[in-house]
Amino acid sequence: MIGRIGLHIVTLFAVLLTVVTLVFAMLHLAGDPADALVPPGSDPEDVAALREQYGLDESVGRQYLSFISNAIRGDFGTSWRFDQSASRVVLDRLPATLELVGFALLLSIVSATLLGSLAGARPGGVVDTIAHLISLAGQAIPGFWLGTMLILFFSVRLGWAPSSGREGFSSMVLPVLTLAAYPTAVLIRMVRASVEDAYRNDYVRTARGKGLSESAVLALHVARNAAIAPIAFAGVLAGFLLAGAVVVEWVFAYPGAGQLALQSVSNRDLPVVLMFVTCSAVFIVLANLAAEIATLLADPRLRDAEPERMRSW
Amino acid sequence: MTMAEHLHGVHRASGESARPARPARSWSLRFSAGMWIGLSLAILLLVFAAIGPLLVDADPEAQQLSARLTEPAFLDGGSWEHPFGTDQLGRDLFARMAVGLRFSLAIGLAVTLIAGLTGVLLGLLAATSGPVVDRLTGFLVNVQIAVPAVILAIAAAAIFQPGTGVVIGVLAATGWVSYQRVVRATTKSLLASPFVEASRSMGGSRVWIARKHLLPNSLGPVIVIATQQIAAVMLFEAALSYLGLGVPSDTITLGGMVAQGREAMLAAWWVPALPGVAIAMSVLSLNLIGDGLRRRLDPRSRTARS
Repeated sequence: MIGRIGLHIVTLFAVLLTVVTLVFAMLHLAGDPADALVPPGSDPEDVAALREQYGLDESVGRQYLSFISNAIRGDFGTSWRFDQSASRVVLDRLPATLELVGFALLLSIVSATLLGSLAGARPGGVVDTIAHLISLAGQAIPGFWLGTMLILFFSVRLGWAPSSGREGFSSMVLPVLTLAAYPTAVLIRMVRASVEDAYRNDYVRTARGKGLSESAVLALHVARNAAIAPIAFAGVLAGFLLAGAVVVEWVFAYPGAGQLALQSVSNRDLPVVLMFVTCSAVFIVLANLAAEIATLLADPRLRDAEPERMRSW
Repeated sequence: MTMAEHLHGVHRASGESARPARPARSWSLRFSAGMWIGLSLAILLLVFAAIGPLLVDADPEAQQLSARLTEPAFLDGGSWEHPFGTDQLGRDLFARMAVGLRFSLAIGLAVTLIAGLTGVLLGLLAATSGPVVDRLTGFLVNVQIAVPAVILAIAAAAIFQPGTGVVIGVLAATGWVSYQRVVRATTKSLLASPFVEASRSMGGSRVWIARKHLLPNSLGPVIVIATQQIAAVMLFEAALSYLGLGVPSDTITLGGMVAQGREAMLAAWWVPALPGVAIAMSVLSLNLIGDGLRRRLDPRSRTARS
């Protein structure tokens, strides 16, 4: 098991290296990176100075090596907008985003587990129907639209919660609800299916046969086995949530890293954008590693299984 | 399983033919009405996208400042001249939504085609070309997971000039993974199945087996994924347009309409609300159709139904 996790960690570094390489390739595909790195309308002298500073007059191979070594140290240069290192600017905004993502993750896991397992325990029941409708709606409604409608109803009409900013718990409610909607919808479906599957196992029949109550069967046997699929899914969920956070932060003017990244795109503040993209790749890769370790802990069968049976990580 | 089933390539994994202890009542089975709802919605939306602007005889770009923020026909004060009302520049929302929906659908189809072909090819390669190719494509999957569509779109918007090509490129580059996974998995299990072995022992070449057995048998899941991916792409495209990461803002998109409508939302809620409804309806309809197709094409639910 340790060896397998070690292999994942090696893969993880290779993935990050590839992401940075792709970013470098995109920069060069778009033309002269010096033009992209300076704000529009800069002095030609400034451009020349920057070209020298970043070694852009050297060969592509050398440029690549220095780009990689800078990227590993988290050095993507100085933000044009904030006159600070790009990594400082992004890292300052990251906690707000992680807070948003964390609450949404918690909300979606708790609500989807509850609804999904109740639905899976009684297929065809009232809860099942409600869960199905919620799941269909949550997967169809665009997050940015849901957020806008929540603002319109709860902030403008009723005045219950602020429509923007990040001051206190009440300002978190609408963004977290918006962000959690899609992952909850996907998770409900998944939990329901794996609960229904788990009920079909022989050990459930055995447990019932030896006289366990239905709630004990659910808690002791079904829930544990039904949890494996959603746990393995948590890594993908992290990607959903981070990408969703960008949208939600924009809708609610929430001062997180996603909003910063979008502002940096319109400011053409490339160092900040590159830092943000790299940071999110690191976040998602770590979340996948955590999900993988959790899956191995939750499902002893996988520990000795052929690598073939493993999911992607 | 009979020999005839082997020869016709009907594949069932071991154990699935056994009757489950509890009756399988999956959602898609109970809600077979969902398929019909999905199809009717899809036809309605297609007709709307195709002839919408003609129905109201309005140019989607024409500004009519005397008729700004008029109510939709279903509200007090609205008229059938503008069935969905007008925006803050007096442009007809019905016509604009139809044009925006066309754009969404076109992007959805284009991306699904490109990503689908790429994913199917990579999946087949991964399953049939040995462990090195398998590892490599698996690695590519991991790289893609580390950069979700919205994040890649941010990088692309900062680096490239905005345009339809960039949007399609970003969404195709992030959309092939689900095809690859499914085709790889089904192909692997098909390769181990008796009818493929029979074909091989009768001298079937690799290309023959891929064309006659592997592709047709993984087509079902691929069609299901493709249906639902059109929906996912429409959602992503709308989000990118809303965020200003998509096509230039003079192109009419549903996401862009929601973004522009926010400026008017205090006076006229329908301006941002209605385009979002169009997106949600399209996605819902495609997801329902996908669920219905899954029921028809998945042999597992076929056994459950009989």
